[in-house]
Amino acid sequence: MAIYELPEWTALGPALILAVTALALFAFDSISPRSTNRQLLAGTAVAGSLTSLGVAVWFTVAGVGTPTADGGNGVIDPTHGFVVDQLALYFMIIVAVVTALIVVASYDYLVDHAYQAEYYSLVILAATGMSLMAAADSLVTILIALELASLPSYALVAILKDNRGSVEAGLKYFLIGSLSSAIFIYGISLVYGATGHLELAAIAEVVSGETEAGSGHDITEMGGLLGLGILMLIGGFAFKTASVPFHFWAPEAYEGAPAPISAFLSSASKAAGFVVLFRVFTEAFPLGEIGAVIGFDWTVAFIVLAIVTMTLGNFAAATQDSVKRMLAYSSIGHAGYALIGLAGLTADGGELVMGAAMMHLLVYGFMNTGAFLFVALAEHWGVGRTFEDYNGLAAQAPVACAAMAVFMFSLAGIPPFGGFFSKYFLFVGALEAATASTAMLVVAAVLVINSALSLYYYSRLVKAIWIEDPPATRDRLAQPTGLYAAIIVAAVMTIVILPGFGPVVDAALDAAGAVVG
Amino acid sequence: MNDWIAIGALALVGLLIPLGMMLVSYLLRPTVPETSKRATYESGEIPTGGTRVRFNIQYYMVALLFLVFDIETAFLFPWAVAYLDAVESDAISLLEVLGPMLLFVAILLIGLAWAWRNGAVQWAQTPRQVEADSDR
Amino acid sequence: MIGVEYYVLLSMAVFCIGLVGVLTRRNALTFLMSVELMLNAANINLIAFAFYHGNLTGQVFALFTMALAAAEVAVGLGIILVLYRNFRDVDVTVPTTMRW
Repeated sequence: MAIYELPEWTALGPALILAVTALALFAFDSISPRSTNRQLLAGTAVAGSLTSLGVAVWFTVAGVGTPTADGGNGVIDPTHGFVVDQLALYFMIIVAVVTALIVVASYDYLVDHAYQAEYYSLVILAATGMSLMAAADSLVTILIALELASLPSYALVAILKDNRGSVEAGLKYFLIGSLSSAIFIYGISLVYGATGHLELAAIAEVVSGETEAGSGHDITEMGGLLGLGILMLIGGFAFKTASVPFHFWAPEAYEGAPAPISAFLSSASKAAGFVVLFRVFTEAFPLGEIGAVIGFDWTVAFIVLAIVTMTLGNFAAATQDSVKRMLAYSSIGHAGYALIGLAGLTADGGELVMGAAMMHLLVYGFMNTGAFLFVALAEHWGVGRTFEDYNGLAAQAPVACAAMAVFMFSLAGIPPFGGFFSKYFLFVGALEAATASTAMLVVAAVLVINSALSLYYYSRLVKAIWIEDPPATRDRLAQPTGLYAAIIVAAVMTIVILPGFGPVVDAALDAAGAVVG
Repeated sequence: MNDWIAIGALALVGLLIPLGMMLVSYLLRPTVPETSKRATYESGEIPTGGTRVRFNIQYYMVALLFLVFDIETAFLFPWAVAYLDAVESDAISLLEVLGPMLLFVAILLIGLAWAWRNGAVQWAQTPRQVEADSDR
Repeated sequence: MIGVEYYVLLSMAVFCIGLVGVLTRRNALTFLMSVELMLNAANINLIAFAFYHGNLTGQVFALFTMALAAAEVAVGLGIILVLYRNFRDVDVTVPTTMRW
């Protein structure tokens, strides 16, 4: 196979391409800081993210990371602290897809904006961090990648410097983010203290008692320290994935930020947070052994978090007047759905439920990005932000509004769209896990109740767009090419993913099997 | 435990000497209250304004640039310590020793070039420059 | 030799001081300083445990934490600066254009 001729570090290619693109944009802006060549800047960013996507897909097809038993090339360990397996490639694809979509959409959104090159390079830098998060398998690289994703995001949220809402959103995002990263780092220091290692595999060996901790003490003596550290790690991940208890930045940041950035944060950033969450908890703290050391199974924590996050997100979303804020709370609700993937794990299984969570994150990457991009389109039109302001948009822009209806029904989980299948698999997986712990029955029930509730507020928006009469005084609506293209691609993918769901299911289950099995 | 008694005694003496000196001078000195004595000393000039003035934003830019290169040394030092051993050993080629650090510095230099070109090190601005900036 | 548990106690104390600062102070700059305190508490832990376990991993990680703290301050100060320009204040409770 041709892939053997490449050196091992190229396995990180999707992330490296993004990094090079970001640096190229910075270099371009250094050479001509006043340039108004928007086509070139946006084109470079799109080319970079599409190349990254192409390489990630190529690697997946070529069998990088597929176990050798299945005819692949085996898991590649490109450099210390990184691992490229099916899980990593799967999430690199999600990140690259979302990045490409929002970069295309930003082209129209950023007309007359002062900081073009900075915007694109920060987006690509954040995408680099998210892509690296997918492959990181040491707490050091995880932290660096996580911050590489976070720091540009803070700046991106606040990039509309004269817009009070944007600055306020950036401030709140930054405050909660820096607090949670401090807690996260302290958690890492405690885990390191208890085990003496930062690589996930080495931590797992110490936890399961195969090797001694660095100092030669018995790991069970440090159980309290390790347990506290794990709880603090959960805090850090909860911020990144916008789930309880660090969720309250999300509505503010998503509402105040430029809408493409909201799409980016709520899809790609969330997916990247989940991949690290999945990897850390399945690889470093194996379920069978960890209970003996720290005295409780972490699935209990995730069952509680999943239930609370789902319920809080959906109930808060149902009471919103502003469309963007409704989407923000619904995004918290979807984080709760994805958390089921960890809550349903058992010591010897759970591939199905975790695979379902990954499918949901992929589908979510399309439908949620699309929904936020529609809000970006509405901001571009200047129609206002509440449900009433969206009344009757379909009469003037039927194509975009049809796409929006697809996103809404898919987010709610109505059968003909992609969102239904991922939610269905989550439900089946939760029921399967319920044989091991009855608490999962509650989770499955809450999932159904919340989906029903979410149908109410999603269809409320569809009703406003399609059924209500438009106000008489609205101007003709422009049709910005980039935004339209991104929205339509996202909508088509949300539908097309349905016949193509077989490969997605396989890929997600393989990716889950890579860490669970 | 004897060591700690000595340290305690030392701390006590260290505290008592300045306090004693202040007490003695308080007892001996004549008291002549006068407003100019309480004024802030500004090298003999007549003080103008309070201490809480707002600093120019340029200080912040320079401080940030300093911070970047200050932190860079935190990574350069461990690398420099290991450098000679790594060069002498046959296991690692010179490229593998130098490459990562050169790449790291190159990335930092791109950042510096960007900051430079975007006016972070431009200290004072003429009115015309200010005007040109506001167009951006 | 001082046992590692004293270092953990010290770092926990520093961490809690930082946490209390974060929760009670309203000035954005004080908030930033409190977060720095929490990061440094983690550094104390990392270095004490690196000594305790006899490997260098923790010390190297502490270097990364320091660089990270610097980067975070740089971005944070930038955001606080635009906050001041827009709201003429650095009190984190002043900006309430959106509901909390």
